[in-house]
Amino acid sequence: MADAFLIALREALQCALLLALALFVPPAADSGKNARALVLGVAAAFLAGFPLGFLTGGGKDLLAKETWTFWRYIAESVLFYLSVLFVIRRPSPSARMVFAGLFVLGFFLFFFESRALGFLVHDIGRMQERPAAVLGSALGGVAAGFLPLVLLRKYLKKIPFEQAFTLPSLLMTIGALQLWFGGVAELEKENIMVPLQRGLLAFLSGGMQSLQSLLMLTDHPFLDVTASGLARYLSGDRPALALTVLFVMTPPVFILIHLFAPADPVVSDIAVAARRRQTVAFFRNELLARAVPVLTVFVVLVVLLHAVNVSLNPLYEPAPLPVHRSESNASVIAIPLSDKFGDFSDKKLRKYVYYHGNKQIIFLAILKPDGTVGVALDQCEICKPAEWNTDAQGYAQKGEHLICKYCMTPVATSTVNNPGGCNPIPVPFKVSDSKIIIGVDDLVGLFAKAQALDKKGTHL
Amino acid sequence: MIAKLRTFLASWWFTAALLLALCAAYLSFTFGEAPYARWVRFLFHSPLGLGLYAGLIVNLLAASLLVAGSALGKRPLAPETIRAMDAWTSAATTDPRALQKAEAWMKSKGFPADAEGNAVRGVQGAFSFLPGAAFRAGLVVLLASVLVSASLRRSEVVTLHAGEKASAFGRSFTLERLSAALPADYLQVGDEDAFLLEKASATVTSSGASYEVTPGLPVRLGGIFVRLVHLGYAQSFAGSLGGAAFARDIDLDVLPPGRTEIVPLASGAFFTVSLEPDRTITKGLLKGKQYNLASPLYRIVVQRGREAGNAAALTLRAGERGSAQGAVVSLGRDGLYARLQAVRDPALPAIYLGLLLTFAGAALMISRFFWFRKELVALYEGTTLFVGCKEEYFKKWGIRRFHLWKGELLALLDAETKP
Repeated sequence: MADAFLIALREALQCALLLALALFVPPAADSGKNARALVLGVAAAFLAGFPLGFLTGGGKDLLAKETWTFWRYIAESVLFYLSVLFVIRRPSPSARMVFAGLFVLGFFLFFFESRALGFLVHDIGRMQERPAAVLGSALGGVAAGFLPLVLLRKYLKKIPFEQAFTLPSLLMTIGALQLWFGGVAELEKENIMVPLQRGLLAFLSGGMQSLQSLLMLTDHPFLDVTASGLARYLSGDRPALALTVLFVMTPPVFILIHLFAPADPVVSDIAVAARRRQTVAFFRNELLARAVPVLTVFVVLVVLLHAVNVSLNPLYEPAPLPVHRSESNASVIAIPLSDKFGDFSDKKLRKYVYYHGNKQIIFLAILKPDGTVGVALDQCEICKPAEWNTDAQGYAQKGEHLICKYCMTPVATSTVNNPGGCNPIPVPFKVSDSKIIIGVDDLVGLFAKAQALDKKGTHL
Repeated sequence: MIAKLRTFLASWWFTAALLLALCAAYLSFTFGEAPYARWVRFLFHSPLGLGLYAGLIVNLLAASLLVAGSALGKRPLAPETIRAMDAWTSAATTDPRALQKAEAWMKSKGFPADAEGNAVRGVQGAFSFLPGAAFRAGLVVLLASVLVSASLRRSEVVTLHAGEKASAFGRSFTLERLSAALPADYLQVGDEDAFLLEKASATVTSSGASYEVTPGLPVRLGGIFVRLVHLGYAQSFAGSLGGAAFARDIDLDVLPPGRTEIVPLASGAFFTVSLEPDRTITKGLLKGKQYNLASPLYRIVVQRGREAGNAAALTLRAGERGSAQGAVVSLGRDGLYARLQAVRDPALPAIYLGLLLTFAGAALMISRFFWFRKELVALYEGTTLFVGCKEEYFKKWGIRRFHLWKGELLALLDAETKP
């Protein structure tokens, strides 16, 4: 029940934030009628979306999940790019058009999230066998999410939002925040960036193949074809990422250019020098205030792009496999180079855990580029993240590098077994009979020394 | 009406609408399999797709003509047009040489001034529209030629050995010689395959002329284009298997090393042929296999029926003979075979030209950061000299520059500005 409440609370708070921005900036701030249009839109979205998701829940959705997600992406993109349209063409709509536009804006602020919420609440209710209670707590969560906006509206009205936001920058900010929030995280783990980049990659790949076929320069497994390297590059990750960046960054850059394009006001006809300076200063201060939301969105989008890039190029970190003393020689641990868990020749990182009393000694092994094996503790002498920060402990693999998860330093796999710096602490071993042989006493002693070094506090 | 239609066809809005429609079409195909292939079929084989595509070509053409027309044409000057420019000023003066002084002032600022009756016009970067024009022209040529190619292209692939003759689209040709720089000591390390044959070519003669056909750019043979698309070993096999003799010339597809060719024989038997390394080198856990690709060693497994244990393995080079478990195999002369792709497509040269122009235009567009149209105009009407400036980009700086300069002109005229 608490899950449904918290999810609903989170989604409502996100919507309330977007609504707060839109409510206190013209045109919604111009009149009560316009503000009501916006609020009515949000209410209509909830009343339409929540029952739609709730009634069609239980695995029988009206449309496929991917279709709902697709249309959410379209709505977010349209909102985001409307900002560019309103920079190019300043609208001068009638009062009715403004009312309708604000209603539609409010509707799309919350429709898809409401539908997903209804679907999720139905599922949680079924699983917990308390549908009414779960529904009640979800509705309570929605109400609680909008409550701060209701309570703080008088104070929010006093904030001079209209000095910072223009209509284009408002739409861009709302669009960017929606891109960041994504959908309901429990149903849709990805925001638009990941499928956008994958889609662009597929398009570029198909496009380059078509172009090569058109030019009679189709690629070949071993014949050297003119410009095949260029074609492979253009159909790779980087151009797709570049296009994703272009898609995401165009509105804020466009708005920034238009913001700073106008010249300073002409003050040559003002006799008093102080008044001239004051006029120019007011103009520039207004520009800076208007630039703040755009620059904030810019930073948010950069962080979002980085997160997407990381998720598309994840670090490889296998779960440690338990190892024990060898049956034939209890003083050593023997790890086969090739077994049912794989072959070292795939050059992938392998981690192992040896239980010594109540301690877990985690160490890693990897085939180095020169064909020899590297074995080391899954820690270095320098970095020691806090005990609670388990995500930052040890190493992961990215290509031909090990990455320290704490300081993100790449360590070439060819340097494993070399002590010092950010390298993992080497473990003495030998290779015999296609097995890695590690002395148990060596491993335990080394681990104890590393622990002692930790306690001494010589780390970052 | 025509002018409005012309403006609409050349407008950015039309371009944006067309591109959005094309994107929407592509997105609609992403719900199924192979979206890109289906989208291309939609573009070239459906009325709506063709309409969008043709619309894009018309839009680009119209935009290019409009831009060129407005850049090269001279708009008549009037006080209203000057007041509509980025920055302007006016000065009351009865100096009969006001216009000449304005002209001299423009020239001193680097503007090649051109007198037009009671006006002077100075333009920098008059031809700065050319990079964009080249880019758009390249796109128009490319798009139009792709459309033609989609309808008219015909392709054939022929497999030839040295000395053989073939014909494609009514054009006959003979493969005189095949050459490939196959190394005698190719080292394959681990499971990675980095085999790349840099020099491979087929000498083809047709109508008395000789042509060098490579895997690179296609070669024109009269009305068709030919390119080398595959290369492999041609090997003759002979022998006997269970008393039954066989003799066959086989085109083996065993490159790069690691590939296996299955050759069926009569009565359910078959060969599997692959390249055998001459030598295996082990360093640590890595294994390197050295192949003599110039004179390859084949591993031939003769399989009789599907039961295990009915296989006989041999390793032979060309000209050698071997036997195992009742199977006798001898390899005759070796050689190479080539697959040539012949294409009849009148639009192919235009596709190349369009692509070249597009890339050239795109590269030249970088110059637009500093090479763009700047205009200074002066009009003397009655007793007032109107002076205005307009810049294509970075207008803010142009306005600032004009306000700094205008003082000099006014000093030359010894005139007062009219507010």
